[in-house]
Amino acid sequence: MQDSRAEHRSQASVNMALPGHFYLISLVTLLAAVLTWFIWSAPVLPRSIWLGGGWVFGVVFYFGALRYPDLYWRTLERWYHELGSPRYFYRLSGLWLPWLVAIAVVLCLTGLVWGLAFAPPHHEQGNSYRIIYLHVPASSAALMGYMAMGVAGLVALVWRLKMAEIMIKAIAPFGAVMAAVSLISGAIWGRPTWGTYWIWDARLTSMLILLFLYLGVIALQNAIRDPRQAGRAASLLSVVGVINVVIVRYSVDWWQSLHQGSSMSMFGTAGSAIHPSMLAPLLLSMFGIYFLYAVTVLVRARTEILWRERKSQWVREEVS
Amino acid sequence: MRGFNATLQREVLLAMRSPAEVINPLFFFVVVVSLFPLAVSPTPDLLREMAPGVIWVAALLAVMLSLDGLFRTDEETGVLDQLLVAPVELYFTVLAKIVAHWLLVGLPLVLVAPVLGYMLQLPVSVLGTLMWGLLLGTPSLMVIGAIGASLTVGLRRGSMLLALLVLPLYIPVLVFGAGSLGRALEALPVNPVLAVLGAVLALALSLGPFAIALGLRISTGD
Repeated sequence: MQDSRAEHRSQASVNMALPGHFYLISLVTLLAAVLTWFIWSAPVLPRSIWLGGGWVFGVVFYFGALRYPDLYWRTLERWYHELGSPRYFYRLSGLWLPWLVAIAVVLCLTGLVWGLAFAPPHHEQGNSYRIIYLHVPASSAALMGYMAMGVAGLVALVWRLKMAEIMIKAIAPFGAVMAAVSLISGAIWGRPTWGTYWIWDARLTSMLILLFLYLGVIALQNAIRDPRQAGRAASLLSVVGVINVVIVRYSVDWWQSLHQGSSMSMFGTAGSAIHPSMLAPLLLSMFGIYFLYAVTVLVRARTEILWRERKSQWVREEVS
Repeated sequence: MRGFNATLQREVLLAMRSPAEVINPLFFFVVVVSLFPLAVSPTPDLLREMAPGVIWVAALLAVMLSLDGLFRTDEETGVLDQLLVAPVELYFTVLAKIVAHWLLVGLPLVLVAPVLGYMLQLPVSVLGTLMWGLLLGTPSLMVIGAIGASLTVGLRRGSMLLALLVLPLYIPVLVFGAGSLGRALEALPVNPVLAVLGAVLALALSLGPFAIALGLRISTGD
């Protein structure tokens, strides 16, 4: 008994020592989560949601990596190898796609219809506030997309994973569109609320810069012919951009305080808490947009895989 | 470190032999700054208010335009490939190139800035802040811009792309740099802001050369 336990422990430690890159993956994920939390400090959602996300992450990590390390690392290793191979990725994503589409449609429809038609009007802004059901999910998706690009960029640079490069290429256009949607919907909302379409507010400025950063990545990718080289260049730019985005965020906040601009809060001065009857449809539409995000990214990644592997046997069989 | 000294000497020697590349960014800086009074108004109060932004944006553009050729000549003549396979750390080679480039292009900007500041009606008391800010800020601009230059080195018409990649990344330095001068004009303490600029410089100098070296390897298809 004692022996087997000791053996098991040593085996576990070997197993944990072997896939060293998984520690790095976990670290990167954690880092991305923390960064997202710092950047998304706009008082739209209650902190408890982010704390809840942290708890979920912690519980998964505790039970996964610490209690059942064998299963956890083996699963991760399998995913790493399977999802890292374009062919398996193509097959697996083909299986997921119908489900993701269904979930995205249901969540978006429910969230938007509920939010636009049935949620109560705001006591100061009346019905004009309803644009948050488009605005907030788009902003959040734009921010998370950039974080995801940074993580994918790091993975692409360190392990030269082809799929990570493809992912960056798939994420960038949708992220740029989301940033643009966020800016435009924000402008439309700003006219009745703040009396102007555009103001150099810290949040608006940060989103504009984020849009520029997305466009830079897209421009770099389009300028380089060789797809592998373009992918690696875009990876490096994304990693640099993610580090920069944090500094940009703080510099813009500081710049705002320096110029004593009118600091606007989303819901007047009455505190940032959102009433549950408004929050529920907001959360639904947020998750709906995330699933829409996943669908778009997968479809774009699948097209890119087919294009890059167009000379291989399996693509010919797949297409014919 | 052998690579560092050799590269530094080579860069300085090359620049001495074709001084136009050193003088042109400086000339650009001076011309751009002098356009603003002509375009806006020579009113001293207005000029004083605009001066921090004008000087910093002009310095930023001058640095960025000068970086376009940082690796291009080396790439065309094949020197870059030699540097990549040389048995010295690319980190130090890259660092040497940036240090040399800053000494030749950045330092003159810092030295001429007080004159331009005076011409834009800045009080003499804030010219020290202007110089300190540029002294801490222009090396960061060099490093960040060199990352973009390393990624666009092999591309035709890369200079426009370089601007698109690099200008959004320049925003923090610009904000803190021009902000320090703005605070000095209002007689507020500027040391905290200069400290932030120094922190950005430390980050850029320590991590930047890694990114530049990686960018060069990517661009040369290594």
